[in-house]
Amino acid sequence: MQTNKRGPEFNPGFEFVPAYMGAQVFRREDDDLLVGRGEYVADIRLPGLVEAAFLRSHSAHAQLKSVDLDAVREFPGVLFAGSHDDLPGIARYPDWIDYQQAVTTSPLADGRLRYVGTPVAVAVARDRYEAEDALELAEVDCEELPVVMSVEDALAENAPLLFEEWGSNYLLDFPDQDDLVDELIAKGPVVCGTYRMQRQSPCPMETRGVVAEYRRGRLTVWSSAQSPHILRSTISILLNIPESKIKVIVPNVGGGFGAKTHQYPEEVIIPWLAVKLGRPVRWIEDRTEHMVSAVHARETLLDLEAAYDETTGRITALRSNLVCDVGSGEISMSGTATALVARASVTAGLKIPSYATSVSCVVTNKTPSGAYRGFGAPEAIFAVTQLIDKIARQTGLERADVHRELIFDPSDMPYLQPSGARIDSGSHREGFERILKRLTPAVEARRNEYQDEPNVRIGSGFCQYVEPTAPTYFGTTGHWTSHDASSIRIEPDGGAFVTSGITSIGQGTETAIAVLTADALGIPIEMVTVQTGDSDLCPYGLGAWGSRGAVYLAGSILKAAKTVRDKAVRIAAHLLEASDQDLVIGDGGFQVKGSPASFVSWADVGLVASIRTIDLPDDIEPGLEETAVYDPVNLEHRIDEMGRINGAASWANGAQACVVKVETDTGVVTVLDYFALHDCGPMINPQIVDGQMHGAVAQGIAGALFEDIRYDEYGQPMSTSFMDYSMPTASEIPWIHVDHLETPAPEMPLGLKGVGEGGTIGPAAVITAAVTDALHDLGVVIDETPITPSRVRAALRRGSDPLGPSVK
Amino acid sequence: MTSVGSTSNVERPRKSTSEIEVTVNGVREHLVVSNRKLLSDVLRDDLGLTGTHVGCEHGVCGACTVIVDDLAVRSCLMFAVQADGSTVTTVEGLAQDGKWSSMQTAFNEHHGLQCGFCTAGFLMTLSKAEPADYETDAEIRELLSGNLCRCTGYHNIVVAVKAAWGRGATE
Amino acid sequence: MKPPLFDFVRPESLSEALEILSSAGEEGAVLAGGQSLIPAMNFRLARPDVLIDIGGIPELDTVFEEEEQLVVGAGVRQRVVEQHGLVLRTCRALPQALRHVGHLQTRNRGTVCGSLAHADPAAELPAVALALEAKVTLESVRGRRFVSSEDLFLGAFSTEIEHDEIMVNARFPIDTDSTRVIVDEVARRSGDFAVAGLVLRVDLQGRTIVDSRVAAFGVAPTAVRLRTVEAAMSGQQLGDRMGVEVEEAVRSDLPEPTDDAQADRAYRQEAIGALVKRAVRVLTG
Repeated sequence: MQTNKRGPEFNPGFEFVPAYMGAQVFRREDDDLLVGRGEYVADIRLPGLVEAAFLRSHSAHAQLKSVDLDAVREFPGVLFAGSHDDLPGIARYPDWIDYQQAVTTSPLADGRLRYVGTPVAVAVARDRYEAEDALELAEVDCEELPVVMSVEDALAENAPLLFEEWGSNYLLDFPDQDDLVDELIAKGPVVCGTYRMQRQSPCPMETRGVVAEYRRGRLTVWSSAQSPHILRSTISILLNIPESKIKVIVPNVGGGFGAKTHQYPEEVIIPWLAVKLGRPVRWIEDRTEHMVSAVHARETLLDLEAAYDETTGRITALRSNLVCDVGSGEISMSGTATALVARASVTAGLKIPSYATSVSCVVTNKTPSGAYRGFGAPEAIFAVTQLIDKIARQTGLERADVHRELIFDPSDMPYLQPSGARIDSGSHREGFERILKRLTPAVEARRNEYQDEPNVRIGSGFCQYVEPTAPTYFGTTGHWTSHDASSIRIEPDGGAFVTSGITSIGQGTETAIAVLTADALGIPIEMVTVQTGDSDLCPYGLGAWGSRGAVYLAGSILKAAKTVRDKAVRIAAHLLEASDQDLVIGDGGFQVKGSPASFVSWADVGLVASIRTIDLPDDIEPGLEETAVYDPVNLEHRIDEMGRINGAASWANGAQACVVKVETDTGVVTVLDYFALHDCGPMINPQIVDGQMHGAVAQGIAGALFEDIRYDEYGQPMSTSFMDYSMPTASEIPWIHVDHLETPAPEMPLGLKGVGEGGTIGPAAVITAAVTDALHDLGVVIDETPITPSRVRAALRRGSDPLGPSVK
Repeated sequence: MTSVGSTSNVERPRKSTSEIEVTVNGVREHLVVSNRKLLSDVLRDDLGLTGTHVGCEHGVCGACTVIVDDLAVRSCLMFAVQADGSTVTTVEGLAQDGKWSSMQTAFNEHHGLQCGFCTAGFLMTLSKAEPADYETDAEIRELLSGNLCRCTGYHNIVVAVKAAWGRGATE
Repeated sequence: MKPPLFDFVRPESLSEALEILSSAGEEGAVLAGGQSLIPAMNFRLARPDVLIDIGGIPELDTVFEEEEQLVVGAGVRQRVVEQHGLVLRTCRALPQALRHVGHLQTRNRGTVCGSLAHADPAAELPAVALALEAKVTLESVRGRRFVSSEDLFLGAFSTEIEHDEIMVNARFPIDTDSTRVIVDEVARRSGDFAVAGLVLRVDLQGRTIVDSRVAAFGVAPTAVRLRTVEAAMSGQQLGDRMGVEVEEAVRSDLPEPTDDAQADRAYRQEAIGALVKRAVRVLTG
């Protein structure tokens, strides 16, 4: 149980002097990536490599009767073809998550098919072309079952059940109720709204892929994944191979965004094939597969009711019901952890004294849901922001004033929410005011610019939020932990070789590690060598997700550096015939205070530690390295008996705003100006932080206006390529103005907080608010994304207060 | 994705391979390729030039963009046999003697790439763009609209392009 | 997704291409730019046994003026047409429309005739052909025939072209001094196929519209002439307020436009009406 008292500070035990941190440091990753020398999973070449292709379900809901692969096996060049029974020794996914229904999926389907895209069989041939040729000869017999394509259908009386043994289609159901909330709402005045966010796909530019080889008694698996150690543990469990016999390597990854945090069936099947065939096997996902078999996200219906103070508009009680459509639920962590974060996020950034937030996850015959950058916060902030704006419209108060009533002051920190969320620090009010100061002149300018254009309306929207960073893993995959680790080894030449459990998925992890290590040891950054993504080399960690990188890197690197520094000082002092206390670390070495000539370098120390160990002091052993773990305080993993949890070690904050243009004749919405502010505490690399904001905001804009994963009434996916899933181009995304505040988190290493996801949290909220702002006097209120031209026109036609989903 | 029970490919004898000569990054290559093998796959598999990436195989994402006979094209929408007699440049052919082009330098200095998967496609498209044809930001963005990026939000790519072309970094 | 096996031939003359196409029966396909065919083959939706690459046939790679027509050969790339001096002088609809077609990289390979032969309901060039009343030349071993654009487009992705025929060129009437063309569309993203689009071609006498041709695309299985709209516009003065009568004319010409995941019927009717009015505003200046 959290408290609202300040916890202990993270004291690294030495004075950390930022030199590279906060400065402009160009990324070292670019050296390879700019010249085409990156190595992504599809670039891996091994002698004798053969290639797999999967046969996937064409039915959204069916009972598999038979899979006839005889003709496939006879096809020239085919080394193997099999369905479930042909791959013995692959266990089902365990029932890891005790707060949801048990879903123990078999990697290859063994009975029920619950979404188009379910892996049914696999064939291995010389290359993908031939594997696809062969698989065309497969014959699959299924008995079709009635499909369930919406939460309404799933919860209807006598609805077909995806898992009969559940007795319902609820994967998770956490109702919440509070008497005071009910009382205040019954008393009124009340505002309510129903908001709907659509299904989206994280869609990194690189699809998934797995290469596996069994050699020298060990299974090596390369995967485009976010968490090598977690994958290793999963493969160990499902293939019943000791974890020490498995090595997982994450090569260059072309974006993950959450989609690659899951441990997919292919990541188990391909290793099995490598063992079975005694030669390396690869599978590279194609885009159509990705659209149906990599996780989807975000599809949520949010029903909000709030009681508010008539004079100020301040919300006094909030009752919310979130219903998440999580697809078939068959990929671990399917949407349930996201739902818990969405629940907390509805209220986390607001000073509302009483609330009840119910959340449920409902299964449907769609691709399973999973992690996507923002992880529930975008959905929540989208809904809550519209509701706050609605209070303003109902009362005639200014929108900004109603928002202001709910924002934290610095004196509120740390703020312990009834939900258990512990908002530890931030610049909530200042951030909000700053964003408004940026917005106001922009709106003015655009109104002037477009005043003579017929059919053009200008609108603006804004929001503020908190972002859970360095969060819990919620026990998915059985990992009831959220620690991470780094190792520092000083080489004989004084260079530092650093590895970490935090992975790189394109976000500049290696550069961040180099910056932190160089500053922690006082050495030039060129002397730092970094390796991530290798489960042999890197200490056990949970990888890259949840905006956790900066915090865990800082914590673990500083702790490891402390030990290394202390030992190095003792060696240096011995070499300089001085006492430890007289030495200062910096300028690439160890200096006797006040005596410039008395200096030894890290190279001098490194040489002695490993090569000229006869020069060590008597009581010091050779070697100069340390592995350290960082496990944050304040972070909880389990919901307590009252349903409370503080699921994030530290909460960043931000505010966003935009100006939109709505062409009322065609319904086209264009974002003209976008402002984003984020406070993640001190920044390791400001350029990288900005880049994270830009990319995340762009994904949020994509969700607000363009992307939509659709299914037809038979459960057939309609968004199976980039022709029908409209990821925005450079022409659709505006210049993104990013601003920063740096409020340190007192209990975090270096006061850091995370930033990777923050940008996604605002766009749906502010763009929706802006379109409503532009059109509400015409009777249009937007409550659903994406805000397509067709929907805008439909709303204008209706021209009255629409509740509920609009047309197409 | 595969379909179930469709026409087999094995019934008819066919001439399904061809010999081609193609100059890639200045090197004359003589190859025997399957007719159906896409140029993207031949560059990557047969020539080991894995800098060209495959993001969609239907011509939308632009990650596979290379230069064929001086024009930026989607290598996933060409069969390698169509490149017989042609000159091809990939991202590996951009740097000269290990020295980055000014665009590559600008991408590094302005953080115009994150995961790097789409980067080669952007660089190749830009390698044939005449700055004078793209005066405004909107025109630059339209030039870039044939290459998708999921990491950068395009922001720093636009900044990098303007920097490489000697223009200011503001909006 | 990888394409299935096929025989590949690259004839050096049109007659050779026609012979091969004829003997291939229904199993042959013509490869021009490949920007529509190759994705379909990658998806295994198109599975020709014989692929005939016409990119090496010099007589198809020409753009010239003949009998008051701009003749664009089958091998001519969209990007070439977009920037071609003769085209810019004589047929402004084409460069205007081509700006909306795909992206630079696809226009470097894709051909004008290929786009017409592909007949995507949401494509710009078929609508240009309709609005300009262009013709195409089809050739086979059996001979040559000319087909008007009105007769060419039969349905979504379906044309009058027989299995053994190649569209060897498209013939666009040359602009007169009084011709004005507007091409506009509503598309989700830059370069996308249109949700609703318009090619509007008028002949002006002073400020009076003496002749107008309007072709909508993205709203029906093929591009479609909006004859009621054309009639409503004929005789109008630029600057006349165009209001309700345009909307009514559009609804009359498009009683049941396409209804799909992108947009409903009402939207497409409204969008076309809006594009007509915008076009007229642009012409008015």
